[in-house]
Amino acid sequence: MKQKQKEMLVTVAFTLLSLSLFLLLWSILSINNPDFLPSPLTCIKKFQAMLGRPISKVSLGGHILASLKRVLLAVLCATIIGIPLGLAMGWSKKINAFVSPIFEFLRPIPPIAWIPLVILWFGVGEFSKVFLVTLGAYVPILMNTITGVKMVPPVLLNVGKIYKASSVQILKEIVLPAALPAIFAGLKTAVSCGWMVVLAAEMMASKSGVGFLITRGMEAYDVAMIIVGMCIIGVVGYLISICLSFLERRLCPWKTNLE
Amino acid sequence: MKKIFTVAVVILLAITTVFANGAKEETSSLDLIRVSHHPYIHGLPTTVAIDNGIYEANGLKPEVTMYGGGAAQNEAIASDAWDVGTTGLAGAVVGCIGYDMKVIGATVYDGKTIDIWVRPDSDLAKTKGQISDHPEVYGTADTWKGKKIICQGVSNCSLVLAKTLSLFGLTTKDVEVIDMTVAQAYPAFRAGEADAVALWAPFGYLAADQGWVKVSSAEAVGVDFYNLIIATDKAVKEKPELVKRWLKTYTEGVEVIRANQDKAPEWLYEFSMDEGITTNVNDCKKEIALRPFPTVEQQKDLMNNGGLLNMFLNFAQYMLEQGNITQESYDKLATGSFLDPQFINAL
Repeated sequence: MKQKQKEMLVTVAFTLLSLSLFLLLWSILSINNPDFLPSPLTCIKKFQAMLGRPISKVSLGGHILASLKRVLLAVLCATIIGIPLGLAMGWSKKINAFVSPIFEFLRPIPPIAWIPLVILWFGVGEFSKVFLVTLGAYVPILMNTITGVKMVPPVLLNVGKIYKASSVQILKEIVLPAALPAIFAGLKTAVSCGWMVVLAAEMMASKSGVGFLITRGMEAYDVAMIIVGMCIIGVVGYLISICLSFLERRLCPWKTNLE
Repeated sequence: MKKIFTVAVVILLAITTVFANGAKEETSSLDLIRVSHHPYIHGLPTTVAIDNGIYEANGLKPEVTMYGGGAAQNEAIASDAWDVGTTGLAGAVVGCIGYDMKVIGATVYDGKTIDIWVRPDSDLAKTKGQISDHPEVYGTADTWKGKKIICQGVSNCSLVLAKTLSLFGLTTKDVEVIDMTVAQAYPAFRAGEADAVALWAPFGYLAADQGWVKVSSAEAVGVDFYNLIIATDKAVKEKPELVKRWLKTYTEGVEVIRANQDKAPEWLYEFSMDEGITTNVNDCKKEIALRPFPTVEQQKDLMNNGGLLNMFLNFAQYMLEQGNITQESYDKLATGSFLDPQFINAL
């Protein structure tokens, strides 16, 4: 128990040390040219100002929630598409051969490159934004699911076969749980990708969102607002990652035990 | 497996609940009009009109979208995202050519706030008045030649640059133009990039604060710029009565601003800050003073007596020379069919 407490204390100390050094470095760099890099204090004041005054009639919380909604809905869509398709592609060589050429063709195209087409096809509304973020989020989920399925130890599959389990049973009871850690890794990457794309998506005539705040900061040469927007993305992304790790520990405890 | 299913259902329900909360619709007896602006001074009359109950008085319920610029605003026409609004000259020319947009009036004058700036130690700042008809323009053909200039492509700024160079018998091929949006151009120039930068308001005010020298401007080269009041072709054809009522509303907002010049900077400050554009009351005073709103009568004159048509064709000619539009597009503009004065004439 004492050992565990000591480890925790060391972790906290190192975290605080790293954050303090980061802030110190930031403060030093901002001394010479505060217009290009506002100090942490200036950014905190900007954050307070943004908390107190809605931007484009939306509160700061509203902006965060707007982006969060888009990212979560997109990740949900990407999950609904990516996991079943990934399982199928990883499980069946025929399906893989059928889908792979199209997937490999579409995969390298950055979601931002879709913006002009998406505007023409779907306009500049919510659907377009969620669609773009989904394009960015589905790739890691699909890739990791395929990899997860392909890496299921053959011994587990053999056990299923020995017990005369059907293909569906093997997929459901053996392959999916065994692939879960890889799928979760894909989900975490998908959330990060989603946050990256939502910024570009919210540049399309948005009325709200963290990407909108950053764009507005850029248009108005308000560097502090840009940095606050970036920090919000970092913090919210980090919190989502913690939530996913918690979920992962609950759903695949064996992975945590192995670690 | 049960765990996974339960977690999936919980996540799905949570997200559905969050989205369902935002889906409540309001009912209203007022007619909905979808208004598109940029978060700058020509969007102010709408805010003033809303705050003063002018929209309601005219039986309108505005749904306002602030677009970052003319390009995004034009692209949104394809998806029928708005009915009426305001935009800059470059956006209007592109919108009229590509999307059959209609110009129904004129708003904020921009001729005094589109400038080319250099650092004080630039050789361009050393000579002034070489062109007798344009004494406020700095430099000589030799000092302009070969300069690196940051300038937003196909914009009011690029037209001013082209006009400035033409005074010295030069073209944009004689200089190195770095195409960058004005918002990015200012910090880039501050960071030491290039020899000159073309800016519009409010970045010009920041440039003056930096001690940079204004070596040319729209005013100095004699180019007029008005921002435009616009409507989509669809709105003009399908709901002309609504467009007319909206133009009345917008111009009444303009009149409130014109009648309250002392309060207008404060309104502009509040409007800008509400839109996330950090500014100060002093810059807003400059904005109100340097970028006046035309009256309804002035708008009628601009619409009916060739003022706006000449302004458009001047810009379109420049675009044609730069290869940005075809002769066919120019000829289409030259007919003047994009100007629809029926609404302003009815006021």
